[in-house]
Amino acid sequence: MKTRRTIAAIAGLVLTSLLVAGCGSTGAGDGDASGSVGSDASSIQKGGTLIWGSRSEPGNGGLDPYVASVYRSTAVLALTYETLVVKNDSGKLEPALATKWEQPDPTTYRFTIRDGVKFSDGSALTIDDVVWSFKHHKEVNGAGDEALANLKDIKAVDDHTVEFTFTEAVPSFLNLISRRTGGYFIVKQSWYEQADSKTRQTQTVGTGPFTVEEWNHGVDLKLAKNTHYWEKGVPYLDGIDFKVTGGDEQTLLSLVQQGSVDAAWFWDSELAAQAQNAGFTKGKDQFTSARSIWIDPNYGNGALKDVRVRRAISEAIDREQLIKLGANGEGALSFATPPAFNELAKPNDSTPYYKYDPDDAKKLLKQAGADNLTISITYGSDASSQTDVAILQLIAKQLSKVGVNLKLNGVPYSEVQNVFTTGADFPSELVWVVGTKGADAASSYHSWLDDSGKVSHWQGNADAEKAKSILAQARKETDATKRAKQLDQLNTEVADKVLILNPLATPLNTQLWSSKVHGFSTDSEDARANLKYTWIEH
Amino acid sequence: MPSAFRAYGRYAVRKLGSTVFVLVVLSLIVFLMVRLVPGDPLAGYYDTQGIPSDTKIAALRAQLGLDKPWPVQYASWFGALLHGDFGDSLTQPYSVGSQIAKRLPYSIELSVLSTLIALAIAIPFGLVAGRREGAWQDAVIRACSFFAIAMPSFVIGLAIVLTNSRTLRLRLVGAVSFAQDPFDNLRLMLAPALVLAFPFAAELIRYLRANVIEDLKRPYAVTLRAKGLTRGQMVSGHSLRNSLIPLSTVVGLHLAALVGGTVVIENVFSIPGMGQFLIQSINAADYPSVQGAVFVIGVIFIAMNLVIELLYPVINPRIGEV
Repeated sequence: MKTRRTIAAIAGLVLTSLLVAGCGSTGAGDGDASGSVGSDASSIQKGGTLIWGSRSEPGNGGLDPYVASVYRSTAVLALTYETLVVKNDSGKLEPALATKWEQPDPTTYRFTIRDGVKFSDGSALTIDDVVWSFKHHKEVNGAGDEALANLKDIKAVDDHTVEFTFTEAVPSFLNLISRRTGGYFIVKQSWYEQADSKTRQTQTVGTGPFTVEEWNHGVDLKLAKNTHYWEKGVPYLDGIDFKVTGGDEQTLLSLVQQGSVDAAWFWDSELAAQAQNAGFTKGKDQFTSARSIWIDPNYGNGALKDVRVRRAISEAIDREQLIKLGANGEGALSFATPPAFNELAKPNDSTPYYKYDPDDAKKLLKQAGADNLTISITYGSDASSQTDVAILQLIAKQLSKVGVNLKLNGVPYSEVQNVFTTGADFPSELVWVVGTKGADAASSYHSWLDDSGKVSHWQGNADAEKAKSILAQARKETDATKRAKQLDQLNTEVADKVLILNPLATPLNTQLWSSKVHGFSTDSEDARANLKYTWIEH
Repeated sequence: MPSAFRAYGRYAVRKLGSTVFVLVVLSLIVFLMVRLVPGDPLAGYYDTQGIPSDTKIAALRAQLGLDKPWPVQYASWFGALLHGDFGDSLTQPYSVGSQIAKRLPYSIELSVLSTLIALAIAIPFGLVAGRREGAWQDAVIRACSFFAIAMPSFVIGLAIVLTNSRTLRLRLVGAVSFAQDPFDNLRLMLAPALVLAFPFAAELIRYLRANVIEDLKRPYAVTLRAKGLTRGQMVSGHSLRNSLIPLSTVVGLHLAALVGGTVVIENVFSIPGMGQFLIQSINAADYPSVQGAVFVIGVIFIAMNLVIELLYPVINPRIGEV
């Protein structure tokens, strides 16, 4: 009898604990999925804090605008600092801190700075801050500063005008400095110079719509509204709280399902779909991430030197199947420049060797005497790359149908990084690279195609000569329309000679929000630029 | 008495000396171990979107002291450690000490809470199983214990979180510090603590059961039974007390192991404790953070061991004389 009482008491204790653990639940955001873009001004509710769930917090370099370069840092910096100009979703330049810009001659750019702009600490933005921001950027990055490497001089013409002079034309200049997450931010000189390294990495004094209020590492990053923001009436939110789950997206999904976050971004499209099932609205897919396979034609016995072999591999890849099965439908055909470059043409049925044609692939392999080919591909096999692993397994299966044995060589992603950061030798014929839309389409080609690029393996290869020549022209072309045409031509030429393999592009991440969030939409840089127009029901 | 004190003093000094030696060796192993793992802390500055220039990377390497030989780096780190300074993170803008100070309370709380729950479950069930050896109660308790031991705690955790996500949608995931909101903190900590407590409780039940069964067969127990004490009185009055001494050793060591051993559960329930900190630091090849975290976890384990070893002579005076 006493034993029964004991067991009952303990069972009661456990049950009570579970109930206590559960009480105060907030329920799920199971609204009508109407988190719409664009809001009727009269219905906008100002104030409130948006809770945004994320698996990670800012990375190396924290929030120092001159040190941080990884996306999880720059995506926050883009909300707290601003650039002179920005690009809209059509790829057209728009004013930001500069209201006007002109190019009086091929080597000179002049910008008129917006009047009445203040930093988040209430101090006025001066022309000296603008000049210093660019000078300091060049000082930190040296010759590797793509936009400013050829800068001859930057000076304040008057209190509102800044002028850049280059030693030669830099057609990519405006593209590079207009990228929201590109790092060409305008920073308050006196604050930056006085602050110590830790302060620069944990606090911000910018002109953006938000400013950092508090960063609890591993827990959350809180942004507060910049009350001095120059654009009248925005931001609507009082703040944004980026909740960090610590690397596990399943946990992030749980936060979505239990209603603990208002919005979230997922790298795993399957989990994003589950968040959508929980009532969250999925933002428009911006195909900013090109999944590319870089080729070293000279590796091993040089089987990939033969263009017929490369063409056969390209034709043996069923891209539609990869998009449907490998990427859960969240993919698109892609060149080396991902489809988010809206000013460029997209691949289509007439793109050379993109259409799935296993019979022709077999024929080409036979002609090349490579009908029993074995090649390897190296890829990052970390837990965060599971989607890529599924795609690669599918590619290996597809290639096996034409007699190509593709060996999958999974290594820690840091080893893959060595290839494109330090220019280390390829560990196999092929290397899987998860690319992201850069600031300038021509720059996407430079590192692996141009002979001066860090990763180039096409020196002296006749197949690449025409592509290199088009790239050289595009890099010098100052007329944006002509440049876009050259880049389209380059994409077609690269596809024809299969100098790189581009199975598909996917969104860098999938952004979702609950039904009480309004006015938010994704942007072509995945920079969450529309958070300043976002409001929340409260 | 004075000679007993002297013996205990010698014993304590010997144990303390060996502990200091173990800590120095631990610091060296930890330091070298993190450098043997492939990965460059500066790799985290690279991104396919924005690749920092070589100038910038070289400057960062020098600034972080990574361009110096490892013995110099070790001497500098260990010297600072002796002053209680764990150094700064290589990849994030914080001092390692401040992060440990923020995260350790979560892990300690989780460990203590799960240990208390485990004891609350284990003591009554262990005693019942021991007292009713061979009866149906014993069979049921043993079966449940086997199941709880065999089932990894993270599987139970995931099952709870996933089931909850599809049904009740209670707020089970996340963490709030005790200082911020004690009630919310305990509410959120309870589910992971329960998940950790079940397998631990199962182990303790088996341990306690075996102790009680053995104790009840001792001559003194037979004598007391002959004098009229019931099995229940024997268990609650004597066997429990006799079992608590070895049980406290097991609990102490397990408690220390839990502080760094809750990595998966911390991830499942999004608790920013030491385990999560360690994993994040390893992934980022953040040497000082990994060194600091492993060292502190090691110190806790060693300290627990030391306390237990220093308590042995108190429990059994013959140990100190050896």
